[in-house]
Amino acid sequence: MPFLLLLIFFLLSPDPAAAYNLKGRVRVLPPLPAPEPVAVNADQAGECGSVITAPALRISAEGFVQDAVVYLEEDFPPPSEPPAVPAVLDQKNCVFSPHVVLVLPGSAVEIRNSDGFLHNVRAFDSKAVMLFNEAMPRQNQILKKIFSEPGRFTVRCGIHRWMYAIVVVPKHRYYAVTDGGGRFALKDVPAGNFTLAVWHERLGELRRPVDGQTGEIDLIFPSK
Amino acid sequence: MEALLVALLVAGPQMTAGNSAAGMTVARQIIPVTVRVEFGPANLPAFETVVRLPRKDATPGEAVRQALPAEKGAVCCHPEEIKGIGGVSVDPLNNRWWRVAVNGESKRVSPHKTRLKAGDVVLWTYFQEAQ
Repeated sequence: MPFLLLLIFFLLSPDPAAAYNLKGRVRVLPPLPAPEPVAVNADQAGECGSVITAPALRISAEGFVQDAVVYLEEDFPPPSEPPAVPAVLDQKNCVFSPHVVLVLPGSAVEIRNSDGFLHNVRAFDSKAVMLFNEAMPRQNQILKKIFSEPGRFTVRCGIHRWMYAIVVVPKHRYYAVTDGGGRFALKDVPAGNFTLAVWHERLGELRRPVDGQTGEIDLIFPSK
Repeated sequence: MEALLVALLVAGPQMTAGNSAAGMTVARQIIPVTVRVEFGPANLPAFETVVRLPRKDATPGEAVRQALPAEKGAVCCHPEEIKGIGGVSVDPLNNRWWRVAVNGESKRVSPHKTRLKAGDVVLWTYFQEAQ
């Protein structure tokens, strides 16, 4: 009988080494920040239209936040496997797509020009040091660049001055960027107590502890 | 003849010395330039002063470096551009930059190439563009 009880105990106890998928959604409380129109210079309106919607505040009607960067704050081994496909940053209709992209350190990002006119791509690190500045005059032109160090980088077009994107080079594999529904998923998170952080360029930062919870986690920004 | 020799003996050294009593010599001419810095979205008070620059070094970049601590670095096209003034740096994420005008004109003004004249007014403005 004691042996049976011991067996049942071990069968029901959680495996301390079991990894799990950490999923959730990022949202912001109402009143929701409104999308911001950006007036285009008259001499560029023929290429780009007269108004662009600013990409920094892509929030659904329910308050779910796109383009938030979710990650574990603790140190983990750096990602060791190259991505199956390179990250892509496209210049199309005078905006960068996606607005926020994850690029593994040491791997290439393909910067594309899907527009039929000149763009100019400049990248800056978080200390405003310019890393490169290249013209992309042709449609379907591809520029491959490698970001070697972890960090957040701003990529801008020097000609269409409202155009920008954020490149996030993660320190480890537990990073994600939320989709249009505010969803994120960190796969194979080891069991243990960690700090889950979220960063959004306009809404700021949040943190909360995680401890192998099942079910979805909500990260909620207060209203601005 | 003696009068000419005396005149040369008195005036000669002053013609070749580093600084004459008037502050300008043929060898090294110093010009006054007004520098004004407006910090815009950085929410700092505007700053204005008059600097005195050797004519040969009188550029908008050099003028502001005489007025306030200023950081050089490539923002677009050249490592001699100005990327920070008075501790306020360009902010590529928020689309904030420094712009320079000389005597109210900003087109074709280069921080490191435009040559200033005595009495010029150099305005550096921190500004934010929509995005």
